[in-house]
Amino acid sequence: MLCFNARKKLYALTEGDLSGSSAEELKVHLDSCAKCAEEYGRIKQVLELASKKEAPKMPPEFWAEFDRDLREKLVREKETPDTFTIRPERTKINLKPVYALAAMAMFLISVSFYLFGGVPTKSRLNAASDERLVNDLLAIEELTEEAMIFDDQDILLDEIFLLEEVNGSNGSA
Amino acid sequence: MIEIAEGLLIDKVKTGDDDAFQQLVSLHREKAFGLCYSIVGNVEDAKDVLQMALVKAYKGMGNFKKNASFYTWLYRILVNTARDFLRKKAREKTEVFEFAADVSLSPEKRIINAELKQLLDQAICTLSENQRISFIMRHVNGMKVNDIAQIIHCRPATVKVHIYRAVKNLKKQLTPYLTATG
Ligand SMILES: [Zn+2]
Repeated sequence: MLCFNARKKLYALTEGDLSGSSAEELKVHLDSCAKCAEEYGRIKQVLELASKKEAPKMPPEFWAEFDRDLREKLVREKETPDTFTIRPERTKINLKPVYALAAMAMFLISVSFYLFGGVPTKSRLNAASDERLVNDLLAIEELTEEAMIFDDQDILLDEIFLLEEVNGSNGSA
Repeated sequence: MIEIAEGLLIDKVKTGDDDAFQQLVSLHREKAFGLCYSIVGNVEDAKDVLQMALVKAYKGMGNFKKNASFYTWLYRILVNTARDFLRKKAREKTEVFEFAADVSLSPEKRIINAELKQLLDQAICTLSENQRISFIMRHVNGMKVNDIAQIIHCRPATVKVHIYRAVKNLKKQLTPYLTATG
């Protein structure tokens, strides 16, 4: 396994998201590659640190006041005419940076053709369901934003591989 | 057992029983407060956001479908309220995160855990909204990817992409302070 391939699967390993053979292959690599093992250690450390983040435990007085305030707000709401209904927010696609998107899409398609001989991209473009298309658009849009934020050149290639991995056959090496 | 009690309470709330609503709230408020705190970063704002969300939930209770999960429904309102709150604060250009105070620590090998936690908080603040919320829900609050997907209205694969990117960005920022062995 190449380090490049190993790196993008490290987080999935911490989440138990890899298939048995894929996980085994990665573990074998980690046993023999100090650099990737270090990266894996760092990811686990970040996750461990996050899991120890705690919201302060609030005392009963806080909740008593909380209940009082809430009750007052509800009474006020009842007194005002109700015109409000909750609408679940839909995932939205912001098509504002349309030129950047188009350019990025062209770039992704051409790089994907170069890397995968056109097959994964073709299948994605032709057979994509609406949902999948939305997902890809979102990903490409975010990628466009991130490409502007990060000066790391490798991130683009990395992201293309990630998209392939998440949208394509999961778990295959 | 809790689900049965919850179902009964929801029925009562729909008939206009405010006490039942308060009881329903008490089943969820501490965890919900924890999520609010993780997102907005201080007690006062977390309390305000939670109350705003609960008022919205109360008003929208008529739209709640009984076969749906109250927990994901409530959390969806909560997350949307928190997002709106953060956007509003950002527009007002006030300090959004209490824990985002400037700490310029040099990368020393034996940086203490409390400082590391503060650095993590700061790093989380730099993530995009979707990355931040997905990461917090998954790795700070220990929620399931499928639940997060329902709450933020997207596919589980998209949530995973957000979290993958979040972890990658956080690791990148914290690498000088982390021990290599983990
Ligand atoms: Zn390696």
